[in-house]
Amino acid sequence: MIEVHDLVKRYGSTTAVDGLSFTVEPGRVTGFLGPNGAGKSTTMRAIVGLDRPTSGQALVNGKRYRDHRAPLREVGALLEARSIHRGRSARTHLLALARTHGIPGGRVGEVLEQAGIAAVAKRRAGTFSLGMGQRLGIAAALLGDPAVVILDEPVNGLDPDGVLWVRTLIRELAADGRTVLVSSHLMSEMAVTADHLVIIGGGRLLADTTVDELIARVAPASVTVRSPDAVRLQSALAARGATVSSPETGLLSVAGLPAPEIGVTAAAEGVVLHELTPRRATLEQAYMELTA
Amino acid sequence: MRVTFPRVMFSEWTKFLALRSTWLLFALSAAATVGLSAAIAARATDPSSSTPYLGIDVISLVLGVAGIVMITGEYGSGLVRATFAAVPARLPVLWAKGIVLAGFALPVMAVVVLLSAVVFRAVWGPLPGVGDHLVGAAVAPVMLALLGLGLGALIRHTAAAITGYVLAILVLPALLGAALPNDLGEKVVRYTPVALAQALYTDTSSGDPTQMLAARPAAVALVVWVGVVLAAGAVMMWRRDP
Repeated sequence: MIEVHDLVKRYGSTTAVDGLSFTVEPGRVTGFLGPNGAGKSTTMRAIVGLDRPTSGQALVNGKRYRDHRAPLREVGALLEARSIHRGRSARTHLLALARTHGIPGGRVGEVLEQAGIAAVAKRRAGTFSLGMGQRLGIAAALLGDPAVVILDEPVNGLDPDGVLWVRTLIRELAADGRTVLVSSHLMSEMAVTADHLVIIGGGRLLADTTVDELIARVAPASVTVRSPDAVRLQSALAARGATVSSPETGLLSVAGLPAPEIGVTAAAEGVVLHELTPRRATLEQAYMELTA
Repeated sequence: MRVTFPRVMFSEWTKFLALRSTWLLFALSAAATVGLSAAIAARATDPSSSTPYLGIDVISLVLGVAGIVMITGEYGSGLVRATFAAVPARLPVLWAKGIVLAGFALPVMAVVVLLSAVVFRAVWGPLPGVGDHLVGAAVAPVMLALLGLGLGALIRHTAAAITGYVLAILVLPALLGAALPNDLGEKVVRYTPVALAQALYTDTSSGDPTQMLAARPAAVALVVWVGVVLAAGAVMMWRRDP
């Protein structure tokens, strides 16, 4: 569980995070969204004690990160893509981190295997592609078998295989009962992985909700209707309280009335339908609406 | 499973030994120092008891840079974020690096110094008083390495820290000597890190040209330097976000 309380972070005269409060619950995937510069990375860095808050605080499993005796056991974090010295191998990098906590060397082999980079574990990290570096960063996050996993843009630079792997991994971590906070600028990715969303803009909280609630609230569903007799249908639907617009001749966009009701109305009026398609706004549309 | 100081040291030891540059740097500078001792022995006409150790000046500079890079390399690569996420108390990382650096460099320097003396003797012949400077010559470069470590923690950028180190170690002493009035200049120069380090392995008993401090007070003053710079580095490491 992550609790962020009235977090403020200023760099000189710029305010990166401006009184942010939210809670990340265990057992589900929380997507962390916001435009570039919204304060996502700063918030994540504050959670793991790398950025000292100007005021407010972030608690992990009830304590400040730095008050934990085995922080890697509490939180595994992938922050920037590269937190690796180019001159060391993937194995040595993980081994050095493991040794701070007395994590056995066998665990290093496990996470290398899990991240699919066991074959290149002895190569110097400087020779890694962006995707391999990303996998190594995720391996490092998993090293302490942490209760909380924080991943900043985990699918950056990954190939389709890697994207699928991360998606599955994130779902599994949450299913294990872990707390999972994932930031991404790919809305399509968030729509399929996140159960809950925390959306920020300008360092402030814009929404703390589920994907479905957000879409329903910000961008209501509509139904696309095609009919040769659209004009008559339009007035019939309007009479039943629907909001109807006609972007082109023969095409209607209906809000406020579900598809079956529209079908019934059309039948009662004797209007022929060529298409009746419920449209759900995408997360991307809802997000754009919210952050515009 | 928890973070302890010995574990942080073990982690830093792992990192230190895993870098190719560690081995390259120590091997090359050790070879250069011993080689220099042989070359000087071949041409020396009236050597003093500290002449076999002239090459130590070179390795001192190199070890200072090694100390700097040990820490600026982490900031430069971003590794420091992973390191501080594992050790959020931060300062144990600096102390562990210092112990690992000194623990590795001191035995290496002991061998280098001993070899320098042996090689000099083999080429030039026996020289009275050579053994008196063995310890000082081995310790001086290690102290400068620790100074570099503190400077690295303070400045964080490799190029800037190396520039600062070269200025403080090489250029500033020379400039101070020239810039200040005679008496004062000499007194101040004596207390610059490079002069103090050299004082640890220089024969100051007979007609010393630079009027260095004696080895003991020089050692004390150098420890103070290293302590102050490391402490300043520690404060910056604790206070500034990585």
